[in-house]
Amino acid sequence: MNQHRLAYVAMGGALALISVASVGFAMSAAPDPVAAPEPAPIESGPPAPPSAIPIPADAVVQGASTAVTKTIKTADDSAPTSARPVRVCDQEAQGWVRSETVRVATKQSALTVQVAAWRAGAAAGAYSDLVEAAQDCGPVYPAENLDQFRTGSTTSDGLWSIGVQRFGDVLVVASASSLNSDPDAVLDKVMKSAKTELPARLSSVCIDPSSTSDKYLAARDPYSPDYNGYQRDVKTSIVSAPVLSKKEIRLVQAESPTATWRGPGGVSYPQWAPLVLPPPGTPISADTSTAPRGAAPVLVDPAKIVGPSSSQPSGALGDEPQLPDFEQKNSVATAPAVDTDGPGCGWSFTATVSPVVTEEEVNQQAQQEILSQLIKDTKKQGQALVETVAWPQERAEWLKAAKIQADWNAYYAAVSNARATTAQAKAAYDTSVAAWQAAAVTGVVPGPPPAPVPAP
Amino acid sequence: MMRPALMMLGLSIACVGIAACGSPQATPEATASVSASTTTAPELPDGIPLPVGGSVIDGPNTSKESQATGWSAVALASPTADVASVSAELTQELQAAGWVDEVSPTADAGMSISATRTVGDTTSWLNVNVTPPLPEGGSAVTYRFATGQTPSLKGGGRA
Repeated sequence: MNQHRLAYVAMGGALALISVASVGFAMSAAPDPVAAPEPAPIESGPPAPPSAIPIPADAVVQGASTAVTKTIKTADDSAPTSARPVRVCDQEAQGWVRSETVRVATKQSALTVQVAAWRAGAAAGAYSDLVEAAQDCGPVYPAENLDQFRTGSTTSDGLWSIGVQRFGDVLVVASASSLNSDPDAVLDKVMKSAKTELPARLSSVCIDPSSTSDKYLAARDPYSPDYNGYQRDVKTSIVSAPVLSKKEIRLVQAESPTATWRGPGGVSYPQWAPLVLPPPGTPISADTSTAPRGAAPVLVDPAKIVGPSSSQPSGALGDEPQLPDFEQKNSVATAPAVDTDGPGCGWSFTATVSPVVTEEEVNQQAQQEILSQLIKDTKKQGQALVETVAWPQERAEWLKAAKIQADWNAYYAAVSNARATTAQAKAAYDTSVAAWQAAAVTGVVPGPPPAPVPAP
Repeated sequence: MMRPALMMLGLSIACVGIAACGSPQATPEATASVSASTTTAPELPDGIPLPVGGSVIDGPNTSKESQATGWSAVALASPTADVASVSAELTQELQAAGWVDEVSPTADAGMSISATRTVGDTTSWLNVNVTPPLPEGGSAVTYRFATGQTPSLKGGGRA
């Protein structure tokens, strides 16, 4: 049996040696593996679908600029032109797929209205670029939570005003100028008209024709350098039961660190009772032993004040331990999701080619993001729970130390006060003796000093 | 053409050799090393149960204060187990281990378990959250555990 086993092992070892040698030889002479080419980063958007290829955005853009100017009385109309650059303050918004521009004149203003469509999600990025461009011209007044702003200024050419609003993947850019009237008045009418016209045109071909600001929208554009996929906010919450009841908390907090140490009471010191001068004109002698005295001061001898029975604290008292607030924790995790329909007006609006993603991979990333948030919050909550459990005793220990500190503070205050009051009593006595001695020089208590004569 | 064939031959020979080593005559040492490689996922401290088929993905992270100690951990439940079953299973195991627990649904359709256990003058607190199933997986189960002196106050019920 053992001989067979030995033979097996020897044969196995030999065969393994041969295998290692042959694999090694084969690998050594093999050509280097060619690394798979990495996908090139996309630096700019894809070319827009040629206008010959109809896309849903065509029907939205065509005639839109003329339609939004219909509510104002025009003195001179021009035919709309297509494919003009969309500009604010001489800076062009890049990446539009379809655009239409119309220029009209009223009696007092000149007006340009542009309506342009972008690929899915790109209008939000273009809107941000226009906000930046407008800031170079003058103050920008954005609407709250909407992708909509106004700007305007006065130049040597007169007054001008610009209004921009995003509807899904469509931007309406209107600029009005006037020599001597407020261009905002005409702009108000145009932008109000756009708010009716564009949503109506987009209703059947756009997933989200709203102007609502969305921080993730531009990053969902797969051709943007800022592309980060479809990210959404996922709320996570960690619920913890309270460790202590409100009554228990109140009981822990009820006691405050007050001193219990009390110093000795004061003793009367007749020897420091001040001399009292009789009324002016009264004869007095230099002998102070028979002089009338005022009330004797009641003093505490600092040397007789005994400190607290507790040991004097060696270090500074720490801060009072606070009860952590940990009962409810809500957080938001940013998690990727499959962008099935596309951002803004959606992939089909301008025939945008959607990015290829694997649902499983995206979900795994989403799971990781949510778990990361939960892990972070769980650690914080775990620490807070331990701090809460420790809190009653830690506060009790702090209270004990704080009381000792308060006792010693009271002791030092008493000593200091005793020294001060003793010194004051002695000083008052000395002053009274000096006054007496000064009066005794003439043998009669002097009258009050003459009142100062007021200057004429 | 010859080289890949040669590689294949080498690998086949190696397999024969390994098969010989792994025959019924394999030594006890070899068997032991196989067992060691199939170690199960780390369990939670203090006898706190993990959901069946679940695994710890973070922790236990210990926390220490002068008057209390504790830990926190996050586990991932089996993708096939729903929130209610995970919650029920954990509750049952905790009760069996002497914990007094309360289970309540959370606003996000998960479950929250709060439990306490007192032994002598020491009390342990445990908070467990079972989240709704995560994308591509089961529920996350978050644990917060702390042990300290039993409060000696004459307080009322929970706040």
